Amino acid sequence: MDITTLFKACVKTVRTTNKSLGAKEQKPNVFGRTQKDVHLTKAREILKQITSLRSFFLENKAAYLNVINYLSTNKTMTEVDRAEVDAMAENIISKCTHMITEYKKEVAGLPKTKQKEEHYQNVIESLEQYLKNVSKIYTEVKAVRVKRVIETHKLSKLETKPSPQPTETSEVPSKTNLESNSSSSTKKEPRISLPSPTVNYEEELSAEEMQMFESENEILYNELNSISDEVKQMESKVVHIAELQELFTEKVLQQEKDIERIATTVVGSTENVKDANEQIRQAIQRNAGLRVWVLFFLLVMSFSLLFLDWYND
Amino acid sequence: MTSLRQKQINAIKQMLNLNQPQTKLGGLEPVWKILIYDRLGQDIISPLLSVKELREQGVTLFMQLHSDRDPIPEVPAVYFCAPTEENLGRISQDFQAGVYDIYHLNFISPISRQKLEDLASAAITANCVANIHKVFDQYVNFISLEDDMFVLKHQHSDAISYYNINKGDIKDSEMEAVMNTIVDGLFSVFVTSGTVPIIRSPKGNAAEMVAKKLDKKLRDNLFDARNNLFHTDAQAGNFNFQRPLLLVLDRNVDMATPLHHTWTYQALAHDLLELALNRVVIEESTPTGGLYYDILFLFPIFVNVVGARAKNRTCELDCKDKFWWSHKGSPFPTVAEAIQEELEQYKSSEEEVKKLKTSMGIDGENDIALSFVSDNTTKITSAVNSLPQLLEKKRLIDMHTSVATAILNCIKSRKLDTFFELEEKIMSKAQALDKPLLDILSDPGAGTPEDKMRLFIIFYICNPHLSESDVKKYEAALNQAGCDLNPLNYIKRWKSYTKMALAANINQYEGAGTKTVSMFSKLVSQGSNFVMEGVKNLVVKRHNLPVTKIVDNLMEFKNSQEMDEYLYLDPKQLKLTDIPRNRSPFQDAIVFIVGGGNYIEYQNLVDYAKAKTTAGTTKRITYGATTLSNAKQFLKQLALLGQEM
Repeated sequence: MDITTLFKACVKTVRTTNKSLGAKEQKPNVFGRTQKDVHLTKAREILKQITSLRSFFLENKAAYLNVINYLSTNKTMTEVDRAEVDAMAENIISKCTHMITEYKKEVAGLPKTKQKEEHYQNVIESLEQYLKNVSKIYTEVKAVRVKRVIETHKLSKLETKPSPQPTETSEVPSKTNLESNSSSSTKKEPRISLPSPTVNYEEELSAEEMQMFESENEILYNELNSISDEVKQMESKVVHIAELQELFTEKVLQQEKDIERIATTVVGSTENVKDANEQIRQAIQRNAGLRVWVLFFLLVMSFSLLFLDWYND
Repeated sequence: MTSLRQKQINAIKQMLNLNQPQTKLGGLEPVWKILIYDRLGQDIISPLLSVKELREQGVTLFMQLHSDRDPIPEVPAVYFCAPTEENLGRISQDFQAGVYDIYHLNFISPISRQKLEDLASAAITANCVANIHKVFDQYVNFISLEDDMFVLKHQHSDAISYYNINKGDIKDSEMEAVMNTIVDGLFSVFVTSGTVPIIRSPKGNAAEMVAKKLDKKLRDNLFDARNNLFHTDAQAGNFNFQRPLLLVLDRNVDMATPLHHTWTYQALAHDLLELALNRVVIEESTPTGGLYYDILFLFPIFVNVVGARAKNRTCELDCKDKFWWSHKGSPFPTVAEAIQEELEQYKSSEEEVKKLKTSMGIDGENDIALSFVSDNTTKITSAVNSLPQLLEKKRLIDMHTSVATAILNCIKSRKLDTFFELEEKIMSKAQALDKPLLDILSDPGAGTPEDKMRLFIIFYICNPHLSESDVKKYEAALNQAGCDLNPLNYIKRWKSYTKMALAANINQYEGAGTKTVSMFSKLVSQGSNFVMEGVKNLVVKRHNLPVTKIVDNLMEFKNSQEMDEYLYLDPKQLKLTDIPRNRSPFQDAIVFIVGGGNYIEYQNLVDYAKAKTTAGTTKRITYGATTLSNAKQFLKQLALLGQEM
């Protein structure tokens, strides 16, 4: 339950009682002592950038995804536009990551207490998390678009299957154009000299030619279709693999630190073991030496005893 | 219908969101803030939100109120504490030192006008009134441990313990203070859940006082048009015409259950491992094994869990853990089996993932057909996506294995299964069980003196006809075993008080019992880690504890002579009326025990509600208590009371 108003009322009552008691009052700081934290301004800038990026994505999401342009009223983007959007988005994301790393370095260089350090670290972490979320939107949208393109392509293929004429006839004139161009370039002279035979030539062979051309066209068409099919599929797979790659790189980077630590520990421990071997060897030597001396001492003492015994007798 | 716990989480999340209503947009930009709490605030938040969730809400730092804190500029500081003198003093100190720039003060229970004025004057002297942006009364003075269980206090709960309420030299003012604390907590429960209950309680003890006070408080608030906290259900959106039944009971209605030896997983964890705020601390003295994963030979991912010597490991057992959720009420042998099953399942998934790696290694070099690649990519994606789940599962299985092993060790060393069996027999038939009882009491290897004391007290309670000589015989045996006889004195007095009530129905625990099922042959044949030979596989028969029986009677309006003597209080009605006979049975009930609750009763209520729900009528029962005490703590309190007599 909000009792802020009650609190403010209490403040007023206390102020009036203070005044009536004649107590001196400090000038109230009306605007509040909210000093801006110098170090947080950069963080807030980064935050603003990421938020603007996010709103940009959400705005253009519908247009970006609109692959099938049936209604002219629906906003859509041409391929060029999409490439532009892609490039800009990647640019901004890399800029933001750059800014975050810079900020990290800046913060690491500041003198601060443990609590402040934790505070700044968490601020940076939350910024990174936010950026990751926003870039996830972007990659998801891209993946969805690629999927949609493939779907529409499949749909369009189904349409052309029962009626291959329109596309073939469109192909055929282009093919005949090509052929006629090439033939015209090579057979230019005979054509000029013999107009009628060429006309006959064209008329005679047109039926055969058409058949040949038709079959050739069909083969070429199927080939190209399958190739473009494969290309589209590969594109989707590559996008998939790129996602997986991201996941893996994340994991690997996480492991990197641990592995480095383990490597240094291992090096340290091999050093320690070497030293330990050294020490043990020395200890054994000294032990042996000690034994030798003890034996010597005992021998000498016993001989001296014998000697004294013999001497005193 | 969201549970009480969920409502409390929503309230706290809203508070963390600087008391602005939360929008459902995902990926909103983070607003950084600092959380400062006192002990009570810590107890309330720790079972509800994990550190990760706090960070998601934008909390960068969280600290104790009474610790040294450095000034952190510009970010708002959210205070969450109880409005005690100590806390307010510390807050005024903070004002003076100007530690933060923006203050949002949230008080766990409502702050009095006087204290608010003191705070205001402190703010004026420190010249930071403009920095205080919001002051809120959050009515969340209770700790939700589960979706349907709450307690009022955890740390510093001595003031409202059973001992404090029942001790002989308690002063009226102290009693008033204790009652006020309890009523405050119950009031916040109802504000958070947004409903006004119908209150019933027995007459003549602390429960009656609590019930009357709560009724008065609810009534005052309802008829105070200005700040009525119970906005109509239209706001919450649930047209809940049924009002819940609040049943306030005193611990004295059933003294045997807190001392009973338990057999269900959660109750065992509470009894033996001191489960507190859904956390258990286990001492591990053996190093756990390591795990090695090899995914896609290009990316070796190394997962190694190596423990050290005698390490104290904190395990969190809460409702997000699926295994815990489904097995916390099952008897212990079932739990052991279930852990085995989970382990098998996990091993098979691990095998699958490894197979994937080999198939990738072999086929990825030769085959370049697109279909195969697509197959593999989907397989890889699924494997990678399921990998964190697998790791999490492994961690949970590890944790449960260590918890269960710790419990099993305790059971084996103290022969708790025999105790349990005997107690169940006593509570059901109360026949002449002298021989086995005397054997156990004089057996030095079976259980600690406290266990024996518990067993004997239960025997004493359930046997209305016990001659003096018998009692002397037992006392001698107990003395020999080294038990402290003070609790017994207190129980004797208690029994004499309640003798009249018990005269009618001698045995409130009827229907209990166990039957030994030879199920552990299956366990042994599976070569399990849990060598449960020597531990009897006891299966508990369904029975109702006294508390459950009372709940059943009152919810269904069964005609029972005792129940008619219970008070009936309805805060929404202006005049006190009689008990309406034509009401439909209640669907929601909140059972509150003044003086200490335990997991056994909770489990019993849960089972009862489940049985009723499968039978047709939906019943939701929430269990609440002033605090949770396991048998050891309760016995200690009884000893203190006995000593004072």
